[in-house]
Amino acid sequence: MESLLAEVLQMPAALVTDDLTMKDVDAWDSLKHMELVVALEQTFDLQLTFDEIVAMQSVREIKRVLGERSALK
Amino acid sequence: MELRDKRVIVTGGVRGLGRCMVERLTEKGARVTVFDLDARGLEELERRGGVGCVECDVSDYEQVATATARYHEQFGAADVLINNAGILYSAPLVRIGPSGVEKHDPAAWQKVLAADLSSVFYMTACVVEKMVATRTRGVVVNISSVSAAGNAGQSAYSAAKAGVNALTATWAKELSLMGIRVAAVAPGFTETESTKEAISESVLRETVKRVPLRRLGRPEEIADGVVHVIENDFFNGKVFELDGGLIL
Repeated sequence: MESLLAEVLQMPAALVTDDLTMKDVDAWDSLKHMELVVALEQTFDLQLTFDEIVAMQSVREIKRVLGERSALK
Repeated sequence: MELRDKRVIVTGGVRGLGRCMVERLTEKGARVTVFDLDARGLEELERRGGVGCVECDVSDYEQVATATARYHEQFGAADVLINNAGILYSAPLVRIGPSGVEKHDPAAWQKVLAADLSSVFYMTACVVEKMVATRTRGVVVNISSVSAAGNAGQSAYSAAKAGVNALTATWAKELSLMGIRVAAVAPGFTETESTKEAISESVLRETVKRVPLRRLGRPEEIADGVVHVIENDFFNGKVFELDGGLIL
């Protein structure tokens, strides 16, 4: 998952930690966020709800949402 | 997109091209709602049945916000928005009149920009907001015009339609990731009341001579183009020109 985020956000995977938030990454704007959502949906074969998309403001929240969907084993 | 049972909003659907689109879409089994400011026309449309009617001046943001909120409460997110409402207005930047050189009326400029460009922005913002919030994979079709390329004698109208084309390309880039397609249909000169009202017979006769097919477009041909854009899931961010081969 970290490598996917790193690829979409175009940053080194080592910097993709749980504490990383949208505010920390200039490139992680609303358009990039949708790119990320689509990448996650395609990779984990699911459709996220609008509330989940809004909640995913950090790596930790992304993991929580995906965990609740059992997408992350 | 298969149109049967889809919720479709058509702005300016009471008459002209919009009315023709409404008829074509209902034939296809879509659940059409017309947003229009013509209260009498809406009453007549409602009496015929089969179409929802909402009185709304789409060039007024407050009216659009209120009307779309009511629509969403009743039907949920729309699947398709057709931004057809607008006014056809012809005037050059300056003209030589009896009292010398006369400038384009700035009030007319504002009115055309509000009706033909701001309305598209307002309606799309309010309708797409709901599409995104409900993850609806929708389609927005903007009715542009060949005048977007720059038509002498139509400063405001050409500028507004060029703006519509720019919004079409911009929104396609922004919204495609969310599964929403945005495209435009640009009719050439078409046999409608508004064409006859805005363009003199002599100018129209000369214009027809420049159309390789030597005739005006028919409203049904434009409506078919709109249906094609909705149904073809790979058509996105582009302007579908239906002008008989006319180059301005």
